[in-house]
Amino acid sequence: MFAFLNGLFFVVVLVSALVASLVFVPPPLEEGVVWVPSGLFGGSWVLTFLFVTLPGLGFFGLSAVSLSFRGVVWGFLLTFTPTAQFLAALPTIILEGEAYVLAAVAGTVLGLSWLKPNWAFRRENVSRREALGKAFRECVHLYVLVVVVLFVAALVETLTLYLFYL
Amino acid sequence: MALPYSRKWMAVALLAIIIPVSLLTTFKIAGIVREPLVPEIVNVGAVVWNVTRPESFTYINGVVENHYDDGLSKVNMCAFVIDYSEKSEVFGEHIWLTINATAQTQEGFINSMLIKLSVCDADNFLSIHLLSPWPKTQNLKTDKMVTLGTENQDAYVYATEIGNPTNCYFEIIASWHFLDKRALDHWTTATLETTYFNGTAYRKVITPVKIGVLI
Repeated sequence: MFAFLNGLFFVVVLVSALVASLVFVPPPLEEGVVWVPSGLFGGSWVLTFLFVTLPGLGFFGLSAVSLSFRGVVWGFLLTFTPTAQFLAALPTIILEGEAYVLAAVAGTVLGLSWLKPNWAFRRENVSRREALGKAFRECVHLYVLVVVVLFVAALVETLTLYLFYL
Repeated sequence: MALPYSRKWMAVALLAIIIPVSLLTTFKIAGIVREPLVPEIVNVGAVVWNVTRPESFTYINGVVENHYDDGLSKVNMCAFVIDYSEKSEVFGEHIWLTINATAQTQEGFINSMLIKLSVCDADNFLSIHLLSPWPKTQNLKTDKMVTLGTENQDAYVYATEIGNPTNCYFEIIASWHFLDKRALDHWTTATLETTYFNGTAYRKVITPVKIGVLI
């Protein structure tokens, strides 16, 4: 699932960027955009939980849908970014993307655990209640990783900004 | 459910990142995924106008115009100096003026318009007012603004296109305030920056108007 969601997100970003480049007229070049370090503030993982993980709790496929939507938005935003800025921001893009993928994995596991416990925990014979409890615990572990990855992404972004605009 | 610990799945996960990101980077460098276009800058010569500073309240009704026309696209700018008030409890000694601009293009679309007001000395300042119905726009939406113009910063209103229009209208109202007790000449420059796409490239047309109030 992790590999699938990874592929889904980054392929969606690529395809969106290509489509946007073909369909839309590039904007005029303006002065550089200042990227806001999103992971330094606690709010960003909260938003990731609300918009990527939580929908999966309702239905497991919604986390993948939300992740794809983010991929589309990113593809559109990256399309008309100057190449130098794009290359400078690439490490941040990969790290933040990974954080969203991990959040989507958490959401999908949560959704599967109460809807189809056998799919979520194949080798174990667990009830829905047990599966949900187990999924919540895994979700907590995954979110520790999400917060760390987002924080590192923000640090990398800040360093990139500092070096790029020095 | 356990996370995929096997090396095979980790390799697949890594490839799932590496391949699309590499392709996107390659397309970006190769120009297949396009970059923002650098607009060509066209500087139109400034039109200069001045008036003698009145002694008391006066309707000035001064009109200062500047324009640009390349055959396919036109930009017109008009500064209307309305009146002068010697003294006002709220505004002090000041002049009211409106700046309006129209832009049209037969090919492509208008991307943005910016009206900027600047002063060059410390004894006067400008204020752009958000009094209904100003700023007036047609096929534009106001995006950013700085309403106070001093020696150290320009006042401006920046508006961007709605729906790739071929014609736009933009108007602001401002007051120009004097602090020097009728001791100095003052000049302000109203500049219109119109960015439009002509079908192949962007062009930014800069049309200035200089207005003087002289002793």
